[in-house]
Amino acid sequence: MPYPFYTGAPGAQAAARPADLPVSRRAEQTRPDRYLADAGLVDAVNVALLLGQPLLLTGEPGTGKTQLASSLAWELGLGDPLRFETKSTSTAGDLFYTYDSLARFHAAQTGVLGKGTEFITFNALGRAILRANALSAVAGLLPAGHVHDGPRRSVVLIDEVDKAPRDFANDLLNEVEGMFFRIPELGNVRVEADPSMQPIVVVTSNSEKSLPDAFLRRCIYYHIPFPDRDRLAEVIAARLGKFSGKGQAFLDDALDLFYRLRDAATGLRKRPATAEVLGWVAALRELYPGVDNPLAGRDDVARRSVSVLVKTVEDREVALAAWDRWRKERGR
Amino acid sequence: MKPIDRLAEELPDFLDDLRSAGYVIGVDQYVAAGDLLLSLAARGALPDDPRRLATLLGPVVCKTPAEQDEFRLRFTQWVEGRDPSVGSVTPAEAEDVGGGEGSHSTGLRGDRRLRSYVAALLVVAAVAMLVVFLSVWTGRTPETQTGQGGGVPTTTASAAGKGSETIPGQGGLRPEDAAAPRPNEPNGQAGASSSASVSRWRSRGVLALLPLGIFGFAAWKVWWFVGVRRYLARRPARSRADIRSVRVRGVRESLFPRAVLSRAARNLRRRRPAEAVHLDVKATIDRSARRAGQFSPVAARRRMTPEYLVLVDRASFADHQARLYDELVGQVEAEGVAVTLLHFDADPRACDPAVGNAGSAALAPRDLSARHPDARLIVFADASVFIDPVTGQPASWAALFAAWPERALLTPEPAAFWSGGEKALTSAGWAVLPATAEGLAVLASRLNGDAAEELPPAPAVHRLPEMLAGDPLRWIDRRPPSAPEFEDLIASLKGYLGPGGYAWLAACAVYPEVHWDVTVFLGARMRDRAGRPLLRPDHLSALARLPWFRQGTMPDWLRARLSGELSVPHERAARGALTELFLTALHAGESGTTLEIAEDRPRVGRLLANHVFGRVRPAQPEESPLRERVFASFMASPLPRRLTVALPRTVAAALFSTGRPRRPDRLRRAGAWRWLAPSASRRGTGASGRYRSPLIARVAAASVVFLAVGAAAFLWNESRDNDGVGTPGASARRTPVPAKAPDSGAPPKELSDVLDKVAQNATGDNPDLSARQKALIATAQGVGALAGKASFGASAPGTKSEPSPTAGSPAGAGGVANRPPTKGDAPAKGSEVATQSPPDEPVKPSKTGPTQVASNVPPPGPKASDATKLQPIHREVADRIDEAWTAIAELFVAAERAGRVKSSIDPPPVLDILINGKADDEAVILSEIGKNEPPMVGVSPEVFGAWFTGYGRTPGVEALKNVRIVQPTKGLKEFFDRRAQLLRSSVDQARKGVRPLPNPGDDSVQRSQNAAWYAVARAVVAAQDAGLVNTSIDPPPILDILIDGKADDGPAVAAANGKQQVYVSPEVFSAWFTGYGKTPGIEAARDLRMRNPRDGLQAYYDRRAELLNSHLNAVRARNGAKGDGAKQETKPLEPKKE
Repeated sequence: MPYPFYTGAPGAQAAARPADLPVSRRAEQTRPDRYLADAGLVDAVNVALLLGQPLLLTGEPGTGKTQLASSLAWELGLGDPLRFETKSTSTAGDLFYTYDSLARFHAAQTGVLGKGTEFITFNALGRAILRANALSAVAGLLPAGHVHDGPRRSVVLIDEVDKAPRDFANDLLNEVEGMFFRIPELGNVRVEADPSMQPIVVVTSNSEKSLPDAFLRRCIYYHIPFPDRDRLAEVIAARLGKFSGKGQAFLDDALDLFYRLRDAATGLRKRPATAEVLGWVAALRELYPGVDNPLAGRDDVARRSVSVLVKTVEDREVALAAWDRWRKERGR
Repeated sequence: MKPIDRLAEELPDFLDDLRSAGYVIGVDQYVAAGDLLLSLAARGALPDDPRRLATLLGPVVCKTPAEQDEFRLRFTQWVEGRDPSVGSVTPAEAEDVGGGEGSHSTGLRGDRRLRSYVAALLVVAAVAMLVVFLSVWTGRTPETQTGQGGGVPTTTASAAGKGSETIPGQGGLRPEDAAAPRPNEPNGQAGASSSASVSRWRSRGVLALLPLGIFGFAAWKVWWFVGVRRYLARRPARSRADIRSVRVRGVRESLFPRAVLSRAARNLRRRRPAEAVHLDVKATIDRSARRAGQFSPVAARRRMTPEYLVLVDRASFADHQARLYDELVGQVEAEGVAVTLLHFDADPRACDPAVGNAGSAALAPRDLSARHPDARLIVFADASVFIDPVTGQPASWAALFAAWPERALLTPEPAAFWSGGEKALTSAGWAVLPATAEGLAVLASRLNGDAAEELPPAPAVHRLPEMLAGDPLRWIDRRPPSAPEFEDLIASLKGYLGPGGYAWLAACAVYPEVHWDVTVFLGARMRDRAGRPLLRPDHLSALARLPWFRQGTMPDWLRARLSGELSVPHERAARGALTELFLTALHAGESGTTLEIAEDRPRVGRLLANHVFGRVRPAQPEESPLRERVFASFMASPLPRRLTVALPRTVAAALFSTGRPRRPDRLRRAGAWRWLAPSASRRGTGASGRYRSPLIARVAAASVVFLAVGAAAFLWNESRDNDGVGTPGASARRTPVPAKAPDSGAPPKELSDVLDKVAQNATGDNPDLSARQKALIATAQGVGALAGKASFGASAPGTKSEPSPTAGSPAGAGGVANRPPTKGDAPAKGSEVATQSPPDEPVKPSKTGPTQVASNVPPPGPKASDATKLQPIHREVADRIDEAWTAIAELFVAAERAGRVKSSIDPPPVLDILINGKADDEAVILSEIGKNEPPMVGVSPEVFGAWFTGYGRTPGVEALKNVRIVQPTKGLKEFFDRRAQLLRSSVDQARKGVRPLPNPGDDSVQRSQNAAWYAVARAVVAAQDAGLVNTSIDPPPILDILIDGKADDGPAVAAANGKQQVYVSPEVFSAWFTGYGKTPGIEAARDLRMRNPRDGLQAYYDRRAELLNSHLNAVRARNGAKGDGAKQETKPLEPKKE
């Protein structure tokens, strides 16, 4: 289907059959085999594996904290990581399972109470601990439909831990260290990971709030620095592949403009990061197929693609103005 | 013992050091670090280079990005210190472990490598010099050695023929040969028979002196270079390696009552109930059962640890008041209270994003409420920050903080002096309490529902004097107030602080910097008459509210006065306390208050240090501490002066030469003998293994001693041989050769290059020259003409009107030494110093300038070159700019009526009136000009530029001789800080369309000033929105926008980057030297110069005068204010001839 896929014009004809849209590049960008970790991060991961401690990652949004878990799980052959999205209401117990009390009440009132496991949904760390055991050891705890593929290790990603109240990190300590949990709703049964199959825990934080010292002490810590220009070029090449049909001039221009927008002097409230530049470069490639350097000699590039780089209305205006200045300076 | 075992054994020492440096390290980290090494060793994965362990151990012990960055450097230093065989890390290796934006370890390692190269070069040079010297000393010239080996008769022997035979094949000169005459000797008489010996010795001497001189020169240059690097490395840029944290006991404990804080922390920690998202099963069953089975869900309750969002008003990074509150909060945090601390500057709607790295934008209340929705809010600030000055009620935006149901304001104002502001906030739901430990304790009780706890009776305190509270920035001005005001100030301070507090204030004035650590330590060590320490919470709170302690700077006029007020015992106590501070820091253990002390460098001699300092200082940027008079005398003066504090030599030697402060046990183990032992054997022998010897200094010192001894011996021998000979040649040899004039008058390189081009192309039209170079040539020729006029050297005649081909050139005007002295001369110590690159000679706008220009150069002035053309003001912003000029003119008229316009330039300075509400530089110039020698006066950048473009009007003042931009430390920084503050707030208002309402107490000038700022901000906003503002400074230059309609220096500055100097307006230039430059990679001193009159500045000021005068006339005509006085203020005067 030719671009634009959607015109938004009155009187447009509805397609007779579903449109043949391009496959999302997002999946390609986030493929774990294309993740490029810096040397410090590699060492930190290996230290965490060696010592069996959780790995705490900080860094600007978009620097690849979450992707690291996928890359790690892929390289170690552990499948997809089990992910826990932290919320401001999260408690440590939510890491393991949630219990549907309402459904249980409903079942109690309708008189169809089963063994109780049907009201349980195991979450990331709980699934990982279950998976670290043989099926025979945990079969009585599994709800109907739960697929158990253990015993094996898992990678657990606890994303954006700083969103949660401070108690979350404190409560997390013992559970993560001991790799066990209890289920009071099932008679306070204790579920513990086989020591040889203990999950690998990766915790990320955007550093919006400080974390308790006690929690920090239990973790292996690494701050992913924002890559410099050369390294970012490597990351782009690794994630997106070589720039077929695009020359070095395009990459130079793209990085030049990107770092201009990132500069604090430009005044963006939310500065674009690695994820944004990857999406932007991919978008330019799709928007201008066959054009060596879309950033040269085109007036509509900024308007069409700036939304990939900035996320707010205020930032959009600032970014467009900075882009315009950049074009004039560079004669683009 | 295996290396890994040794490393594992010594690692706890290293972790100890990290812990004392503030790293969060517990037993877990000690165990984990050991486990890691053993695990790696067991797998054979230990890296060969122990420095590679940095990225493996770092994740175990680091918990913040800053620690992660610093750890690599610390660990590398430790490894290299404990094992000298480990070389330096290569840049590639550094890149491997760094990699992020802003990694700077490469520079430090490069510096170390450079030292090694220089040291090796010196050693080689010394050895070569020794060989040559010995060959001469033993009397074997290369010629005679050749004769000896080859059997060739020497020329001397064959020509002698006077009974002194030389044996062929043996050669060499016998002692009697020294008296043999030579055939071609002009004087072959017996009386001059010794001339041959002299000549021979002369040739030997030349041979000896040649390498001596070369080596001496090279050594001197290297020494100078190293000295320069060391001086420059003291403060700026990569200062992390130069700042050492040490610990002092017993200070923090005195700041707040420990018991009160512990009680407060306990209550602040007390968990509070909160609603959970899941059901309380038992309660739900119970309630459902009570309701006959009807499902009645009950949400579970949970108790959660309360979190606190603390906002502290901080006026500057050295704000003592903010630091006091930081300490207060830090102490309860250390007791387990969950705190997020942020700072704001006067406006709590914009907080610094101190925590996190999600961007540099300020955090608004909505950002904070999204991040900390359930937190309790505590604000440490004066109530006035939330109060609308017009209505006296909480400002409309204060409702944004209602997002936190539990919020409190802890105010520095003592409860006895609370007024309507505090009461209004109380009515608006704020808990208002004093910002003390007791106030915090009461707040903690109330948050837990215990309203019974009341504030204890506060000690008797005085209200902050009105003269300090009303206009605090006035008192940090470098210009002293009038004598009556000064006396009022002193009397107010004495009354406000009391005898003890006043003595403490005076003691703080002794040290050149207002520094929190020093202030607190002085208070802890000084005693009042009753023998109690002056450091008490009420004293410190009162002291911290003073403007000098909030802004972190104290002007010299006040320092001198306060130091003079100290009694002899108090002064002795203050100096003793400062000495004790360093000693205590040196001997302190791991606990206590952290102080940061700049690392000194080993000194190779006071004389050399002063010499280096004298050479370096003129080249430093304005904001450099090397150019600050008090600091300069502190650095260079051999004896402590009134305003300086000398660091005891023993303390300095022990403290600084090691590379870091040592702990007492290590001090004992590192005995004095270590300082005399060879450096190589000493490295790594200390307990911490981190002592680095100043190898290069020792090699250089040894070389110099060797040279001096050799030269002395040679000269002694020569004079002994020549005694009694009395030849003219010998006499001439002893005559001192006139030393070359020091190269102190060298102009900037670009100007120097252009001067060279002038010499080559003065009469011809060189097509290779760009328009800009031609303009510079015109400037240079003007400078050359000025040099001739000022009688510097043998300048060619007639340079005033018709420059000769050599005028102003290095050859014709006597070279570099004959160039004008204003371009780089070292000023007299203690005097005002010239700016980095002042514009050249004042130019008369239309009359005299063109006559100084060679025929092949475009005439100066507005149309001198393309670069000097001013673009028309953008149409879209022209209206706003016109409104701004009108408002400025109205401000001037109002200020003239109030007698606040007494400027040395005409028309008067816009920035001064906008920022200070007055333009009184003439009075300052006239009052200062008689005091200083040389008579230089610091003025604002705008006034400075006006003087150099023919708009100065005060008789008796000469721009070149008398006028300089005021130094950053003497008022320029404050001037630009205030400019930034006012412009930012005004732009903010302009963007919101909120016109500032006049305050009830404002006079006409203040009202006009507010209106002018608003109009200026609208012009700036219009220019920004039109895309006409692309500047290298933030906030943007006001005058550029008002005069040019745009501010477009950004691209040019960005393109500089060390390759080419960029010329900018006075406002932009000064903003860079006061910390408002924003283009990365630019070093102001290296890359920026102020625009020359012929390169655009003249046109710029002409246009400024045209705009301002026309608007002034219009406003006066409208107001009917055509009095003589007003006319006199703006009557254009004939530019003064220099």
